[in-house]
Amino acid sequence: MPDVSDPVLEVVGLRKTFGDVVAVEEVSFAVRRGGSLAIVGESGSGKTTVAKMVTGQERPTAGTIRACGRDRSAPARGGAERRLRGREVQIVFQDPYSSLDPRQPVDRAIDEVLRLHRPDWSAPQRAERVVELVGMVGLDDRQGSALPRALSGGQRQRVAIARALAAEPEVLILDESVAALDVSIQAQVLNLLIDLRERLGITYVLISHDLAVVRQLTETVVVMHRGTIVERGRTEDVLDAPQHDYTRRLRASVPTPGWDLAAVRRALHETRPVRPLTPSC
Amino acid sequence: MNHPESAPLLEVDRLGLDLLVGGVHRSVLRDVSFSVAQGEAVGLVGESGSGKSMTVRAIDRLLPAGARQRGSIRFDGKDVVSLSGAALRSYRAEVAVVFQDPRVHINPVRRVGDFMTEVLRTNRSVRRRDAGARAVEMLAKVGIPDGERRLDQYPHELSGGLLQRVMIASTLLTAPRLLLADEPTTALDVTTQAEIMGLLDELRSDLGLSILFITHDLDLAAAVCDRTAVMYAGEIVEVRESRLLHDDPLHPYTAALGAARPLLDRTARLVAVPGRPLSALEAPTDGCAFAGRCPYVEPTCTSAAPVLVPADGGAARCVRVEALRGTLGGVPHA
Amino acid sequence: MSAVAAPVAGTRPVRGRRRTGLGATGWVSAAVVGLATLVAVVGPLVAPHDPNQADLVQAWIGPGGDHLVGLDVQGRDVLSRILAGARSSMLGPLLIVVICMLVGSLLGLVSAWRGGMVDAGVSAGLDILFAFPGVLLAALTAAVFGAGLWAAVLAMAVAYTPFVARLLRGAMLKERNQPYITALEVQGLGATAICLRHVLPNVFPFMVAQGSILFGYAVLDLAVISYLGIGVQPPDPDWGVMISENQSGILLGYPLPALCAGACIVAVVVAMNLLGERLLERAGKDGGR
Repeated sequence: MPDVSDPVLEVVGLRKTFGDVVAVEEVSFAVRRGGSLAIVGESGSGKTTVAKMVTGQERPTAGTIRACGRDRSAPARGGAERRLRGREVQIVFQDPYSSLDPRQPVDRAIDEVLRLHRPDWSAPQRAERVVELVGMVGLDDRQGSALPRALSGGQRQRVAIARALAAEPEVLILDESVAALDVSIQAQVLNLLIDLRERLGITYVLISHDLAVVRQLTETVVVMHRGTIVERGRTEDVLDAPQHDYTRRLRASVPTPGWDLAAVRRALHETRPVRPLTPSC
Repeated sequence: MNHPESAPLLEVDRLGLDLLVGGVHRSVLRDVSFSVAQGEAVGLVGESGSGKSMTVRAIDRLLPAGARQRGSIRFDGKDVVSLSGAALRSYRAEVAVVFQDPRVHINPVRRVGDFMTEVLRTNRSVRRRDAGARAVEMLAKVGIPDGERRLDQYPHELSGGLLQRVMIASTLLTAPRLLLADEPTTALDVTTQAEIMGLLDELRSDLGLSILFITHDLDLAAAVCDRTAVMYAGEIVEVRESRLLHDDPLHPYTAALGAARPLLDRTARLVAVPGRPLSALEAPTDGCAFAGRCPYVEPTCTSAAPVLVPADGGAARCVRVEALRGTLGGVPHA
Repeated sequence: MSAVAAPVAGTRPVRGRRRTGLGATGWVSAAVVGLATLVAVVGPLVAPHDPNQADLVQAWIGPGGDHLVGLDVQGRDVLSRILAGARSSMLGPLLIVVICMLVGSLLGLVSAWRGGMVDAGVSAGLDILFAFPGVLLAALTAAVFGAGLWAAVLAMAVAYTPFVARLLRGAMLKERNQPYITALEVQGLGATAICLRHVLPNVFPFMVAQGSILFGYAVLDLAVISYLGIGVQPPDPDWGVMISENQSGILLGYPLPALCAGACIVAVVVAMNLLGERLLERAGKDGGR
């Protein structure tokens, strides 16, 4: 059981099965308020299923999820509860092209969220906040009133971030949020995310397969493999001195300047000539 | 490694390409020149819209209707552009393509064996049993020892990494001399990517295969390629020995690419160039395409289109290449 | 308002692909449809003669005088009957399309959104309806409610709804699975609001396009039903009825009245289909993802 003081998000004994397939088993972690946690894994590791259970898109088979001290393991009852949960946890997805309504200009998309969570605000109050949010993610006014199709991938991802922040959530889940971006755009968005956390004190949960991005953005990490957590710790400790076999393999697989391909080739022939067939294959 | 003495296997010379966009011809490649020697691996690195994939399609003669091409592509000394019919088929047997997502390039309802041996059986009239034996042999070469069993399986029964190996093995059946690898690991997991990269490297050293490796990842290209060309907005902006691109780049864009990636072993604020990558369609014709984002821009940069200047064993398309030499290297993570 | 990040310098929004026009075919089709609609509205008012005024002595008289396209089997002015007949020939299909789209989008939305048992139940119900041919249903309703435009419209609406509901369920399911919908759910927005404000508007262009194609089919089917005598009842003017009444003229060497009505039907059906295809193409591009 992870021991974290003042946890803003706490997950205990999470399990999810789809039919006979166990997707997630015995997953527990906690993130402190204002902290940042990465859930690292490859496809089939269960990391996305965990994110979906935290946001309420999937219902856990067993285990509990608490955000801001309130249980969210079961579906929300009623609109007020739904909106309350919306102010606790928000999410930014991977694909910037499908995560915005193609018919809704940026400002209207953000305004819709404000109307939902700040019903007492007047239209000018909301408009002022929209301008502020658009500026906060580094877009100008013209981009702020544009339709998504007039924006590039990086700009759309900034909009998705602004929309998620509009509810002023405690926790922001970044589900591979920079993975689909070009390298030079990825750097801009990573810098933006770092600045936003410094300024807003928001908590990040990063779902990622990219260890370098994990290092850049998070303090703690859990490594998932085939549905369970195989290693956890401070991000720099886990990446600099991985303990688990799988983490070491993951670490060695990242191409870096001076990557030892000969070693990779040896590993290819000696330890694992062929990937064993898993049920998901 | 480099074989300057032998004639290059593939020679792309001042390749230009216009595509029909909304009824108008628009330039997507300009002045693309590079070569791949026998047994050499060359990287082609760029972000979206840089033209790297179009270059591959031009080499493999897979261009859309209405495309207009300039310059020349020569394979083993022969002009590729004029090939057709049987000559084109035999050229394509010698130049194999490995695509990004193996899953969309294989018929899901046919067995792996049928897919692998089809070309041999139809184009080369090899008997089914012999073709099967050849396929098993090739599967063993790519690290799949139980080939017999795999031939009877359907694509959905194999993992992505295994399927990509099958794709590579199937291209080897026609005994190609050049492999065009178009982001062959982008759709795969990190550990699987390492396996495929190791495999490609092995094929090159064991079979003497030449490889043109297309990727958006500078470090990945550096891991397998002797030389790497960096593309931006439809042009090659720098072509150098791969290991030099990261430590001692000549072009500001190459430096920016290297500095933009977060590091695995330490955390430092990323140096992010402003703006977004320009696609070839938007590039200016009278100046450097990168000028709008370049921290070293000068008035001369926007007054004339820069040419590829030979420098330091490679070449860079930057008017300030001499002035900036040595200053771009390992741009500090501020 | 202290901005954390300065607006990204040097970027300008990518110019979106320009809205694709309808093309020449599309515009011609739209013009034909527009003309037919106009005639349906004002046709009976501008008809030069009373469309029902028969004079058997003048039957089968060709064009000439103040009868521009001649007189029909009962000596009625063909042009006037075409103009007056446009109303039932266009209104019927319109009603069918509107009813189908309303019911179909409701069923499709509920199926796509709820999934599971609800989806399976709706699917099973639609499958049963699917088994009845439209013309058979029309014969049944005519037998129960009496033959006429309304019975035919009701029958065809029932017959088309399973098809429409299934099409729209597919489109709505695709939209429902888009990450932006999930993002709105995570925000706490209710299902009804998401469906009305986001799913429906995004599926609407597709609905209009499909509705246009469906309209073409409906024109044809209603004409068939009228021709069979279980739709619009003679002597009321209707293009389908006109073919039925004047078919003997084709053998007698007076094909013009039947051909005129037939040409109107064909023109509307072809125009609606072409227009629908162009709209569908545009709706596909408009998604812009």
